[in-house]
Amino acid sequence: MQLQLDNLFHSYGSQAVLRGLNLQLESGEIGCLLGPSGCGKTTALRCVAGFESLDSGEIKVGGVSLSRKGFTEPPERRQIGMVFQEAALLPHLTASDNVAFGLQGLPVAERRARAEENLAMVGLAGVGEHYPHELSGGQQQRVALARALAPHPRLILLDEPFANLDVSLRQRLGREVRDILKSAGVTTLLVTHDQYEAFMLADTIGVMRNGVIAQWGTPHEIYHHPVNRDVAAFVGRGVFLEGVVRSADTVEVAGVVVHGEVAAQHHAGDTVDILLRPDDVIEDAEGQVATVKRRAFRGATIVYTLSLHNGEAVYASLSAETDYPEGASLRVRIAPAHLVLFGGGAV
Amino acid sequence: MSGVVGSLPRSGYLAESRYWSAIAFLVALPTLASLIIVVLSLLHPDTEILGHLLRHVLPRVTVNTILLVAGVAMLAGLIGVGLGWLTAMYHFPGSRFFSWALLLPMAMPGYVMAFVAIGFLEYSGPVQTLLRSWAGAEVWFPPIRSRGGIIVVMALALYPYIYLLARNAFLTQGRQALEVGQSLGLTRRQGFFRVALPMARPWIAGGLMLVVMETLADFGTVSVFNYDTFTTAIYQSWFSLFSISSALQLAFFLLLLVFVAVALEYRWRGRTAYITSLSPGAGVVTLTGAGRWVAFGSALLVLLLAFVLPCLQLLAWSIRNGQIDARFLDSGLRTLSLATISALMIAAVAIILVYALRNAGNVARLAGRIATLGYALPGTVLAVGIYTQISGLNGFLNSSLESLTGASPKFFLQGTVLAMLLAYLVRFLAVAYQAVDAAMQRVTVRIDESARSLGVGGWQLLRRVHVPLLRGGLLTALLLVFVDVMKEMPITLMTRPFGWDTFAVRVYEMTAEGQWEQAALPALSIVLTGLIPVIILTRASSHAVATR
Repeated sequence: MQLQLDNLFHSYGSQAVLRGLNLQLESGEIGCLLGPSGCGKTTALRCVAGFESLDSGEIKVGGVSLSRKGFTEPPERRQIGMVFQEAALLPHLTASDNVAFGLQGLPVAERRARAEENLAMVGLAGVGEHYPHELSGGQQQRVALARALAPHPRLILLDEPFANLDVSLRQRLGREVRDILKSAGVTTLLVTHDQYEAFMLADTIGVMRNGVIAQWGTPHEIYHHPVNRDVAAFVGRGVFLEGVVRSADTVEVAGVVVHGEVAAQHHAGDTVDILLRPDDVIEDAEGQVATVKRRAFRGATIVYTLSLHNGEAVYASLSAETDYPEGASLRVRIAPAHLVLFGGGAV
Repeated sequence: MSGVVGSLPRSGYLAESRYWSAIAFLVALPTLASLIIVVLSLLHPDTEILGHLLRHVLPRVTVNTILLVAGVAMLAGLIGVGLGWLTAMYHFPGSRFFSWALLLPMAMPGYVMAFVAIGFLEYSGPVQTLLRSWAGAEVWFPPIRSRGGIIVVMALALYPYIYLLARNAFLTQGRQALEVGQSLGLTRRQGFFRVALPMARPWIAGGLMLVVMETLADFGTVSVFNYDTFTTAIYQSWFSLFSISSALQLAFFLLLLVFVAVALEYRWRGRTAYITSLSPGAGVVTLTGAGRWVAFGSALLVLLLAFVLPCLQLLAWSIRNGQIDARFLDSGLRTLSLATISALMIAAVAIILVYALRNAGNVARLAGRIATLGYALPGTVLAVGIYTQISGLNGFLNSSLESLTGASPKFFLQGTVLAMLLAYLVRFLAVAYQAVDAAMQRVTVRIDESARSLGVGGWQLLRRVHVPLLRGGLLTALLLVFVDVMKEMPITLMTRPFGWDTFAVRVYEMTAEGQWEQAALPALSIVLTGLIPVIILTRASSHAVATR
């Protein structure tokens, strides 16, 4: 069902946490609020769930108002499923009974069948009779997802659902969960501080800062076209180098001229900051000399921290076959696929 | 603020924290008032009696109490730590059996062990009689009614507290500690003294603290031995001198000792903390040669002295002389109903307090601390404090009724069940609170929230989530309070309605007259009932250790 957040404001005492948050998710879409701790993303989620009330603004699901100033539909009447960082399974119930917990008013046989069906959907057919403490962390989190999905909620909320899992499990489960949510066709709002989790799961990402969404877009847009320096710094790795605009399609940076589209607000002669991602620096026998300061082995690639001739540092993600030791010299070229420029100093 | 949901994340569906704070303070009130009354009593000394007390009573009971506490703590510590180490670290004949059986003496109140020991070992008792028939009338025997005698008896009754905690410490970290020690070149013996023992210090300190508290609060055991301490002095100024104010002043000095003990423990434990990391499996050494029989013998000796022999003696006396007569049944019924009512009431208050502290703010937490302080207040002190409160309330009610109606009603709240129940509540609330609170830890805020997001709120939430999760802790609370009330002696003696006999009162009255055999049947009833929670809880805890 469609989710709509209109100009949400919320504060704890005098501490304003949400300052006019806007967001819209279409039916079946997976949205994500991405941001550092304290940006208000979890509070936004708790407002949608009904655990917090609004100072002003409105939350609508499927066009029906659930929260506004002075009114908060209690969580138990919202039909919004939620999965927490800790699975929060009921320790006295089996996995199957946990999944059936929210299925009140159905005949027992149907409840069992629905529980089994949902356990199978998250890949846990056959563990229904196990108690939570007999399951691994990843399994518990799957049961929690099955439990939230079982009553066919209008919306699913995921609050950093993989934060307690180890990295490899997190990646595998992330892909699986996206498939599960998509096949269930349920509208989902995810909250996380982990950009890879967001990229893996979400159709659309809202990068949050200080209680508002700084940028709303696809993972590709967020990564390659950040709207401001904060978003650029938070999402992905990279450095800012100072450069000068030469023309409508050239910028001079670190002594070389690079080509690309320059946004209309920058004029020739302006000083700008150029975002350079690790994949914007490539090895080139014709290029300038750089020295390896540090290296981080990543399997197929090695991410080098390079010092340019003028002392500025950039990252370069090169094939692992290069295998330069620290202190080695190589020739690189700055070749961004497209230019991401911010006005010098202010954004 | 919305009335439906609080603004703080941890507040749940019953989120009016002001009311919960008020409730928490109300629960803490009798404890707080008792403390204040005892301290303020110094402002109104009954000078004549106080002079007598200062000259003749205070010096003697102070010395007696301190020597008793020191002796019991040392001996119980030696037995508890030693047996804890043996059963945690070694295999020897019967070691698995001893590991839980050594907790059985918890069911045996000190006053029961005391009169059994005296009846068994005194001049006219079976042991000395037998000795004289062998070796003639002049055979020497250590005097049982002595400071040494009472220290041995109390240490045997109280060592399980230290044993339980020390063993737990050694089980959870002792093996690892030893391995660290061995990797640094220490022998096993050096490892015990230089690594395991210091690491177990917080646990041992906690156990010693319980033993010291129990010894300071003890009334029954010292009465049987006619050994004068603060508790007996308070009792006597109450019942022989009829001086409430001097009872209060003595209570103040006893309270002072309690605080000194708390402060000492705090300093000794210092900044060490309870850290639990279980290193599974490794390192239990199987004893061979003479060592195994020394271990077996010492464990067996303690178990015999502290539990088996007293039980057998009680059984023999009960069979020979116990009469299940109207008086016995009457006191049994009283004990049963009193313990049941108290257990239900105290568990109910504990639930309310747990919910209050869950939903209220930090200020209420202080109230919770105060409300659960009662376990540190000796029963005699509490009896005096509660009595004073009740009679003050009574006077206020009487005089205000008089001024309202003109008539002068003369009803008395003191010496009613009300005063008794209130004193039990203050004394045993901490026991019930800890059991319920431990269960409540499982009901996290997230659990509440996920249940609500699944459409389960309000009473449904209580019925389907809270009740099943709290059930075990609640049963533990009921059981522990039931047994504690049944064993309790000084509060019952000092606040009971006239003519109310319980098993503990019967034991006191019979032993005061030296009629050990008549005391045996009620004492045996207390011990057997007390075994129930000991067995249930030791099984639960050994299960927990085994499955961790």
